[in-house]
Amino acid sequence: MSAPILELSGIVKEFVSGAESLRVLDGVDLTVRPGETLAVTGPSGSGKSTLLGIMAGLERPSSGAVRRDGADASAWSEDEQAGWRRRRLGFVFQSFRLVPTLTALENAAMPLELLGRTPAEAEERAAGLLQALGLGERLHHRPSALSGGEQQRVALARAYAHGPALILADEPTGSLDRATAEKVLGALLEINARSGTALAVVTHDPAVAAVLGRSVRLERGRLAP
Amino acid sequence: MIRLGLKLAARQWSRFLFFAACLSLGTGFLVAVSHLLTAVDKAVALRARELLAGDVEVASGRDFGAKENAAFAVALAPGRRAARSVSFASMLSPERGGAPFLVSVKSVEAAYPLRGVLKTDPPGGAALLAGGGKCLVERTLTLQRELKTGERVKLGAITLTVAGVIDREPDRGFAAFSFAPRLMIAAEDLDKTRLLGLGARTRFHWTMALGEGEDPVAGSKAVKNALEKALPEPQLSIESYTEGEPAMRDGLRRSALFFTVLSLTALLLGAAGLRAGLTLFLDSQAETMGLLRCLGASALEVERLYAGLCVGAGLTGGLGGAFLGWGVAAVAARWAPKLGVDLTVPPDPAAFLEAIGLSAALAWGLSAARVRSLAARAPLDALRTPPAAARGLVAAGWAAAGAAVLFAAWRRSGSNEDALKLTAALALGALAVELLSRLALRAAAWAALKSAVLGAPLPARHGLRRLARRPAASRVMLFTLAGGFAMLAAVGTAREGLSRSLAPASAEGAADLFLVDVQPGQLAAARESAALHARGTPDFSPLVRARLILIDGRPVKRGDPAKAADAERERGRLRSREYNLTYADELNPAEKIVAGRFWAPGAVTAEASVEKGFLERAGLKLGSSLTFDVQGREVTATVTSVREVEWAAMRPNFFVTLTPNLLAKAPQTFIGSFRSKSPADAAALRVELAARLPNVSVIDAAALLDRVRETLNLLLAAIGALAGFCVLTGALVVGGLVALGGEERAADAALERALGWTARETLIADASELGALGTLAGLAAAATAAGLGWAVARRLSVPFAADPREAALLFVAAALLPVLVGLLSGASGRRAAVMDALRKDA
Repeated sequence: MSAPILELSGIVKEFVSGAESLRVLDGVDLTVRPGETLAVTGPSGSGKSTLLGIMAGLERPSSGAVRRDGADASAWSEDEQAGWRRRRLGFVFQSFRLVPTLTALENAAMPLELLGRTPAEAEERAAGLLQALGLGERLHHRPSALSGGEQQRVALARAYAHGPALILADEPTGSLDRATAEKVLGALLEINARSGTALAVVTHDPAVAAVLGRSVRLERGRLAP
Repeated sequence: MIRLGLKLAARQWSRFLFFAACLSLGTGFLVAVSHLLTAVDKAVALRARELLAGDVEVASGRDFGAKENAAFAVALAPGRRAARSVSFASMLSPERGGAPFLVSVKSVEAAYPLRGVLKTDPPGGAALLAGGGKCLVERTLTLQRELKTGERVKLGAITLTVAGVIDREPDRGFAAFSFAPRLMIAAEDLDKTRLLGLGARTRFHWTMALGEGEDPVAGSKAVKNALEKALPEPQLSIESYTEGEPAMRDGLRRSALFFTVLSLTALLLGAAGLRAGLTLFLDSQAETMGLLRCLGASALEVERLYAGLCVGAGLTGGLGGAFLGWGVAAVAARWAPKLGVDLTVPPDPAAFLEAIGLSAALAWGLSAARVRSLAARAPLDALRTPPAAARGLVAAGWAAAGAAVLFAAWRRSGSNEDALKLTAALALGALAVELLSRLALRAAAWAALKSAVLGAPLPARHGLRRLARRPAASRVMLFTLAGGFAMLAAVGTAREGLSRSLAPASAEGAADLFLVDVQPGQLAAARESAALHARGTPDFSPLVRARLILIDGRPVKRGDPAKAADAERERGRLRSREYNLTYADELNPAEKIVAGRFWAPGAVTAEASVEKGFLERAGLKLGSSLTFDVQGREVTATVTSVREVEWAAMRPNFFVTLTPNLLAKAPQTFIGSFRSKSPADAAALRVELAARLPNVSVIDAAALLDRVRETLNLLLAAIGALAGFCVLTGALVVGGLVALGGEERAADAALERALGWTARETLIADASELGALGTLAGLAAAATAAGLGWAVARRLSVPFAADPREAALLFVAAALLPVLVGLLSGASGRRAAVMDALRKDA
């Protein structure tokens, strides 16, 4: 069995406000292996987004251990976490989160440029991906000129452009109609099938969870079996 | 709805604080200028009679003759009082020794002053001079020359005892602009000084006060009219205190022009920032407005709610501006005594009301169209889609700001024409800055494209793209920054131009001493003395006192200063002044002919060469025939050449030069100029001349120049401070708009971090955006300042020049200011936890 991309063990996350403290995650253990598809489900307020933040290295756990590509990442600096995300992670958000001042092509090319590719190389690769996703005519449009489905496809292209080991998707279909949602989910699964990129999806939607290989449920900060 | 409005305002207090601050800064200096003008008006009104030391004054460059004395006798009805005074410059020598120095002598009668108080130490005023042989000296003489009460001083042929120190002289005017300190003597001692020689630069005054029961306005006007009828000679200046007042006010208002322009600029820049801020705020409220409509509020109710919020911000900003302006005026008034004016600045209700009204109107005018369009949107549309930008709103904003500037300009100039001119000039300037800002943004877009080719790092490229692709906010920030820095740079060019125009005066070899009132019989002795202590050969020019009586055969008339327009009044004043003519066969090195031809040496023609500025202001032209009364003899000459004179070259220069054959035999004096070998030589010369030629005055040009420089620097510092205020407004707008767009920036930064950017890279992206903004603002400011500086230099008749070091410093400041302000304002957004920012935005 190949080494896990990500291992969380005994993760606790508490938010302190004045004298009160709120435990959002309470001893979460989770492993993501290369090529697998994982759904994280749970009701609102169960800690899904916090878990996603810790998986991505955007939030630090109050206690517990995080290993990335086999290395203990618990003590990594912000910049080390950012470097890992840059190389190994793709992100898809519910509200698309494209940079409004960049065109579709520039948005999709950004991760490649961050990795040091020349702008020309980055845009060539990004253009190919966008064309494959049916956005060949929309390369130079800004997000405000694109529909929700188009924006999410640009976000998919951006998430996959640099060939990450893992794509984290936070309710990727939550803002889309059923038909568009199916297309986007199909595209994500195709990426997984074709390139072996692992996929971790936070979702409310049982239909989405049902098509993913593994599903875990968060309830009151704990993973239910 | 009112409760809801208050809640909204309380929860977005930082935004409202920004709106209010824009308005406070925008109106603050307008209020300050208003307060100062009102204070000056009141001071002038209070001192109107004092300014003439009486109710009516007749002044002349020649002593009054039988005709004048007869007219005075008729005017002096029972109950009225009159006093005569004579003023001139001369050298004063302390009996204890030391070099003599120049003083401005004034002989007065016991009745002086008829109005106002001559404040002396010890008290007593002109009565301290009773019995003759005494003098009063200005306080500065006790400080600079260490003169003491009881000390003996020599003035011409008489020795006087210092009887007291003058602390306040009612009709001294602006002491800052006098070139020598005052020495006051009794009228009975005047002849004993033997200083009133032929051609001496003396001014004779006859002053009259009305009787106790007489109406001061009607009475002084009637006396003035009667005297004008009896004494039609235009060279006699006849003035009533009611005329001196508006003339002085006009003069002060004109000199306040720069302050008015700068305060209107601050208002315009504040308005630009406010418009952008209000639009951002209102657009962010579009969803709330839709929600309110869904919950049952009518479009009108929503419109009223938000219009009320905007007007509330305006009222708060206006109140802040009113107090800020009052404070600034009170601080500025502390500097007024340096210019010879005592000002007190009580709170002026009219200025307060203006600031509050103007701010509220501006806030309403800049927001009304956007509020209406957003409130009227279909509620579900408002919830589903963000509001679209509307081009018409920009025009509406400009119109509102233009109306506010026009109103403020009209209030300050008091004239429709001047207000329109000022507003048009500002509109032109604003348009230039706006066009330059747009051009700069295009350059940024081009640079963003090219930077990829040039291999600039991604964060830097990203910053440039952001700047170019958020044109609305970027344009406003560019406009305000460029506008502010352009004003500051233009003041810099004016300062540099003035400094360069005065530079020849300080140049090695430039004259530092002038000898005045050298009589023809004294010329050889004066030359001899001067040559002993001068570097090079002293230069002496003849000076002939004359009055212009005919232009092209038509008599020069005394205009009515109350009715005349500014230019006409100036023309009348120049034409009817006492002239110092000279004659010469060749031009001196500081002169050059710019029109016509200068006569050949030895010419026996009747020709005149006139200085260019004087020719224009006096309404003369090439070919004009000028007839002068030279000590009773008429001399006519035709203007055949126009000269440009470098006044700062420190040579005796004249407005009008005639061919020698016309004036060679006229009564004349000589004026000499030269560079002394050393300060010790200058002092020795003064001592020597005081003994040999006591009537000859020695003017210390360097000291005079220092005084001019000091006064100019004070004024320029005040103008510079006000220009700095425009920059502050620009900085506030940048900081405010960055902070107002904080959520968007925080979301951008969070997204960048989620995609793997380091904190340093997000900082570099922000710094690149703001640095590019500053650099472009600096370029736009430099281009605007060049145009503005050129116009100011033309108006001030000084060379258009910039100090490269100062220009570079300003450019760097323009580039760095937005980086500093923007990064500080956006720091909280960058520091926000990434997941928090992502969740908030979702």
